[in-house]
Amino acid sequence: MDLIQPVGAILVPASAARELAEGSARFDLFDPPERGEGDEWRDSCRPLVIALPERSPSLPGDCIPAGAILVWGHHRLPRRAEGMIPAILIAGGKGGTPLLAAALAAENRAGSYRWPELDRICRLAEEMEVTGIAHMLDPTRDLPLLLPRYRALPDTHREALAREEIDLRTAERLGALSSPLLAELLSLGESLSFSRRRQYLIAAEEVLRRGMAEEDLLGELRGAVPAQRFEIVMAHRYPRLRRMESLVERVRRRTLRGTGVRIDPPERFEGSRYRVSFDVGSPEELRRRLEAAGRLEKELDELLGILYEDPLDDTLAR
Amino acid sequence: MNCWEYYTRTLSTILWHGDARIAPIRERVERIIAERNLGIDSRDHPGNGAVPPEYENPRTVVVRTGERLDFGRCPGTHGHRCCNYLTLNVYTGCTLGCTYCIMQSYLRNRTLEVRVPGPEQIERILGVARENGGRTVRVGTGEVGDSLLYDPLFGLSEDLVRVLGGAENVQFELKTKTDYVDHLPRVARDAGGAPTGGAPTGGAPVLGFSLNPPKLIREEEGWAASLEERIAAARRGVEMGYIPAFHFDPLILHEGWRDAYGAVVERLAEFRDAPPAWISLGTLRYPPTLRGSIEERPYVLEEFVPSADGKMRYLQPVRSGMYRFMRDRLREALPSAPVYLCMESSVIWRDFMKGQDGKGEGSAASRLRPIMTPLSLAERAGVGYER
Repeated sequence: MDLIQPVGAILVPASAARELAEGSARFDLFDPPERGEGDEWRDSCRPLVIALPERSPSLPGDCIPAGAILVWGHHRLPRRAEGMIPAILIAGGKGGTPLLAAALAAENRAGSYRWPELDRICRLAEEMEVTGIAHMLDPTRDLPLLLPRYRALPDTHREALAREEIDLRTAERLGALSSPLLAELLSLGESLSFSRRRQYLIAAEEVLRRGMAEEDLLGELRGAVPAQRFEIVMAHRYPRLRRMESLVERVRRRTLRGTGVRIDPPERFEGSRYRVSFDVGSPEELRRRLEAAGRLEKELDELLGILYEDPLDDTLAR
Repeated sequence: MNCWEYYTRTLSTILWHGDARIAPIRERVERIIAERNLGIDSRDHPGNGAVPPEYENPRTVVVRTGERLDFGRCPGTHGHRCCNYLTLNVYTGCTLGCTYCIMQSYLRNRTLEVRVPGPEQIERILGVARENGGRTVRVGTGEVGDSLLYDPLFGLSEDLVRVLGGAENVQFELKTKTDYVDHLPRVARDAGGAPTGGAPTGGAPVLGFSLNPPKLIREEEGWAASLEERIAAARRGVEMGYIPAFHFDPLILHEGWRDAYGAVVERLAEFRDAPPAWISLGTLRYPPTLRGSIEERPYVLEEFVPSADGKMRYLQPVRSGMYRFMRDRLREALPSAPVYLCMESSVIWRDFMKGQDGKGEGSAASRLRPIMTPLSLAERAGVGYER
């Protein structure tokens, strides 16, 4: 696609630019950037992009002709500051494609737009029958396929996506959760990293599908400190695995704490043998370690038993 | 549902690759389509290459001659014990729609294929049998499709039954979730169970039925026949001279699973007079790539962990417990049937064999020996998927 070429540049009074922005609201497509100290000043130096009306008689002096459109810059306009703002002028009147392409070129964030921005951009593109801009939005994703999926989500799920708390696939997987429930789960899992949050939410949804009452799960989570909440959900989702792990942990604490001897189950409890390991630096240390390891003998039957006996057997027999 | 109604509902086109070997089959199929008014379009394949897009769906059957790689070892799975099963791919793809079917992850939306086996493939099977004299060579057509779902229409099993039934140490198995057995040739057997008469003179062919409790069949096995229909078909198969076999694969953990599977096993006690050739057990497993397709199924809410082969399986103690339960119930219902595990680890196998009666004549171990003894010559005979 040929990018539209600038036809000139001017300085625009900030108040006139704000007025122009209000009149060109449909091009207000981009989220304001997160600003640090001094960013507003830097933003004010980035030229706006203004499309001149189709039959603009000539390049304007310092005033904006009627019918001009602010194509890019709404989100970077200083709210209160006065003074002059630089602007690039492009020729309008060639349909929507060059205008939207000019806006995207000025924004220059292909691949990093958030879902609500993509949604707004694509809605405008659909309205103006614009084509050929996909590479300027996200060259790696099939947006015509993904956007309808985003649009089909409930509001709370879309908002969580907009806040980048979850990804699209997770949002879809959580589609059956009511909005208040998702909102509360998100709030309770606020301290989690992105990937732990994903695991926590999916596990919570599955725990509820397995029949646990919403109020019971939420009650437990509310009563726990944030650091415990992930584990609480996982213990409900993987009760057998957690029970097996906690038996090994109990043996470590009760029998091996402070001894320098370590016991490890087979990976994912698939296998028939435990690994007992330690380091030694003297004959005396060896004697102490062996003595501690010998104490495992009393625990071994139970440890081996969990490799073959379902720890939740009774609940399955119903 | 009878097979003719099933074909009318699920098939729209058959595309034929031209081949002298295929011609009589095409004649048979077109005659049946006309006689039974099945409404299936039968036509030449429009080229030797890919299926045209308009036919690229599971309502289309492409018929071609079988190739060398259609016969080989069951792919088995890394880190798990192999049961030495050999597979002959005749029907590839399936429209029954079992929710857990692993084929969904690689055959979805593909056309069905019928690969007509030729004399060279039969000869390769017989060659393996000759080189493994004294051992049992188990061969089946139910690996990548149902052996009998489309067989009443294409009739390919008849020749296989006749030819492979004549090899003394071959046990040829047709494995199915349907009850479409009535078109199969009768196999004469003597009082001891061995086939006699004009038909096969060697190991009798085996009719294997995959089983699950009625609730799971209704909820997870799509168009497959009901449990009662399958058991009735197994009984008819016995009357026709076939040896029955049963496959509890996948065993699915669900509330009340013991009662549910126990009741199915009890039903099998009626086959004491016709002891099954074998019974296989395998708990539900799936490759992670299948997860998206089964997300909504209740069974995914159980606890799964990745195994040595990358597939997701129930935790080892759960699998062990399910196998022991099935083993004990089957021992009561069908004491002489060899029961083996499909794609399981050595640890699970050892636990499964523990407490079984010794190693002597008639023991569980001796019954399993023909199944589990590796076909050591198979590689030299050229059997095995080329990877």
